[in-house]
Amino acid sequence: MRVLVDLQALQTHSKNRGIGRYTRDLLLALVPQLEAQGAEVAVFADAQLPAPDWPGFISFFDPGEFAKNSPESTLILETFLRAQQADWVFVPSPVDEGVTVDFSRLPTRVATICYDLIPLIFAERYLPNPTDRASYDAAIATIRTADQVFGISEATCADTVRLLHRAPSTVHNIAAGASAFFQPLSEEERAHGAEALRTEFGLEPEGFVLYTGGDEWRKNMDGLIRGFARLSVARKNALKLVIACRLRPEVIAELREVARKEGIAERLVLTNFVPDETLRTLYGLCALFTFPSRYEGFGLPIIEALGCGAAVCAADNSSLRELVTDPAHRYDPESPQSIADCLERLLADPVRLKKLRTEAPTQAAMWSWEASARRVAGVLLATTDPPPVFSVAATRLVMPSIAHVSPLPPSRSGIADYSAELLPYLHHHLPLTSFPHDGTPALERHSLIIRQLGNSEVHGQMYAELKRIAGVTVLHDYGLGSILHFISQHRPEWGVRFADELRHHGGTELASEVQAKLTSGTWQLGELGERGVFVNRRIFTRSLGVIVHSKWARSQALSDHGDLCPVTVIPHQMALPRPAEQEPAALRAKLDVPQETLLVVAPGFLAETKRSVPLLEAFAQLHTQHPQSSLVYVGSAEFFPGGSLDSEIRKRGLENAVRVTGYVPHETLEDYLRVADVGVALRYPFGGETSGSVLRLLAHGTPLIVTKIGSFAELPEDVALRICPPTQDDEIAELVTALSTLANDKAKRQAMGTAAREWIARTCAPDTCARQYAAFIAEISTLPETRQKLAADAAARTVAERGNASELLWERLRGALG
Amino acid sequence: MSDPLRERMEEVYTASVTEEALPQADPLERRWQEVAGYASLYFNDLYHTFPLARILKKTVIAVTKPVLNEQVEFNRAACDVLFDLRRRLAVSEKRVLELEKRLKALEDVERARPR
Repeated sequence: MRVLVDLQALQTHSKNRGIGRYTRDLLLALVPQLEAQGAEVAVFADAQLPAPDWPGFISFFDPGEFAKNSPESTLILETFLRAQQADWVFVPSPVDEGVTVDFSRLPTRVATICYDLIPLIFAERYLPNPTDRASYDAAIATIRTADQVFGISEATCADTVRLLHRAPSTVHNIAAGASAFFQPLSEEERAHGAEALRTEFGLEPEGFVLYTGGDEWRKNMDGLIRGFARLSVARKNALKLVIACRLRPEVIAELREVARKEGIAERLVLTNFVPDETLRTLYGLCALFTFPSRYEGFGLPIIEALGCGAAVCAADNSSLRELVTDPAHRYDPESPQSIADCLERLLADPVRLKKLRTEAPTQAAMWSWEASARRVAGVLLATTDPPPVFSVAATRLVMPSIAHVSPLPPSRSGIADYSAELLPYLHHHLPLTSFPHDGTPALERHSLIIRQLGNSEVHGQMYAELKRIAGVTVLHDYGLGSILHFISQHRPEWGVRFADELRHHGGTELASEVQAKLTSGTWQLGELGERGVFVNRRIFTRSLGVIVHSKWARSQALSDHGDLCPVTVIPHQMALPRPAEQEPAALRAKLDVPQETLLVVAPGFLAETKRSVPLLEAFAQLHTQHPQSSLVYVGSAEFFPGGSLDSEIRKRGLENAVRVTGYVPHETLEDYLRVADVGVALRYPFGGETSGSVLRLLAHGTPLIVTKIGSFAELPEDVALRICPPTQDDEIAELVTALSTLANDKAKRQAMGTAAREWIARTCAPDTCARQYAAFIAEISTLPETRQKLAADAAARTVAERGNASELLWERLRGALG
Repeated sequence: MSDPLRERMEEVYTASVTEEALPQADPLERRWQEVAGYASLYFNDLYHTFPLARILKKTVIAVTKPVLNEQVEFNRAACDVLFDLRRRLAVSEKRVLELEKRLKALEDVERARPR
């Protein structure tokens, strides 16, 4: 586990205030505890501020010349954090003067501390106008949105749940500790201290009531003066009231005026700021320490006073009830008489005072930084989920967060069928939401996008969006020339220019050469793959990881692009078909295929690249040997030159033996595959695809003939007869031989069919493939490059959105990426 | 010397600033986004904190289910889309009431829509 800790509280003005001290003391106890339990802790700070007082290595983000909390500096810190590996970012001082970010935008679990929400509780006083309210709301945004919040008392935790509507299970009381410095005075220290107090402030040991705290309305110092004034005459004449804290001159004047009006001007001692040594002496020698605050997040002076062995009473509210647990030692801070009654009650009872002083250090010891740190560490270390590389926020652990983008049925696409069949299994392994289209705003709210990308128009927008938002790309077709050319021509609004993509793929020279050859007609678009121009480099520069379906594609990718991003082979999923509801004989009758006919099936669109005419020619020769044979092209001829194969069929006199079904529903395709005796799937040139139709034939136990090319060549020899591509040999002669072999040998057909089904079950089971998806995503999620890429993308999108691009900002952002 | 991360940022920036030319989401999609924003209220703790949130959940499902033309169950899609919206909302009971009214109005519109 790695925990990133924000140290900015030790750099700003907070470093000299309670929060700075709290942060430092807590972290000094927390870091060793986390490290002892195997966690790695890294602290970060602002390079533009004085280095924090911290005994260890510090990573710095550098907002440079940009103003604190300007959109630029915020984005720089955000980018810095995005690029870090972290199970947790711990922000000990969320309402601080340092650079802050909207943590809800970050793919990071965040824990923070809530010291109090007093401005919300006394909103009329502290947030009198909408501007103040808005800036306070912004300041506490981290407390609202953090995954876990540590409150410094039960009362503060309750306020956090109540006022910020947080789930109680996400708010934890960690209390606070007192410095070991505040301990009882030794006899010698008492003697020296008494002398010093007498000399400096005219105070006698146990001859004064003490208060220390802050200089503001909530602390209720005037209320305390009024309460003191209502003590019995003998009591107040025997005592002084000491207020020991830094006071502004106007406050001093106000307090003296209150004391004058109450008739105790000569009893009031305002020490103004005193060093800790003097404060300890005051705690140790006071008759009674009292804390009349109207509200507190914790009430640290009480613990300090107890540590020094002081008897303590306090106001009856907020966290003070947790520190002063006896109701008899608490009072209503708004009632001077109530204050007076409580003080009088205690001061009049020397036995009780002595008992309280004796027990005080033991009470103080209940609060320690080690105990607070243990509670923080317990919550952070309890997280067993892997670091949220992609994801956002607390419920990432239970909410779906990966968008799966793919055409889905009824879209007439093999990839639509692929996704529809795989998704139910993927859902078992990944938290998915499925989207049929890319480019919807909802996608940007997902932690990761998986795109099922092929070389057809329906995938065009995915390619365009990949340029903005990286994800995992499942590359069904290795070559993308045709689709890029198409969308460049017909969907200019997507911002994909074929010329740009060619340039990105192979440089200016190659782009010019290819463009010239395409323009002159020397090359055809469909030949680009054959000529090694797959126009797919963008997929590898932009994706976080690429999934391909064949070893050929992976090897080609490594050869073409090196290690631009992780590439893995996950076989094209294919489930074994369910048993048919009808017997084969009935199915043949339904499809109008005679029982005794040797049925050859070629599934998928008719196309030159699928060798539709050579197959027809080979079949014609087979048909002369096997008049009871039939060839069915199960697919549409709409993309075939001329839109029809009819003239070729007529030319060969095969009207009664050859059929083109046109587009058929999936169920009809399945019916043909169930009754096929031989399947044929040829390719040339090879565009880098993996054919779902091939796998579907194999799943039905259909012996297969394929071209020995690309991914088709990877099929085991016992499930498919392989013929050479037309450039290497006589394609038609080899095809005739293969067809004849299978036509004449029923036993061979059966053996190949059995082997095919076993291979499919072993290699292409959807659940196996889905597991491989999950494993690959888990693997890339651990890579530093993944975080850097996501951080770079997020930063650039934000700059585009805000329109504040500048060379300086790019430089700083680049620095923040590490 | 080329810096792939610097180039990457500039590439994404360029693709993003030209995005205005991309077609906007269709009206149904926009409406789904809007309704989804309100639905975020019933998430997690809110669902348990506010009795009204439970009513909201039912309403939201009734309103949004016909809008989604997707192959996955509504709840999972909704949850993911909504989560970070919910995080940004400072939700008061008054606000919940106000949103409930708006949702009811949307529900009425949905009921009136020809099927």
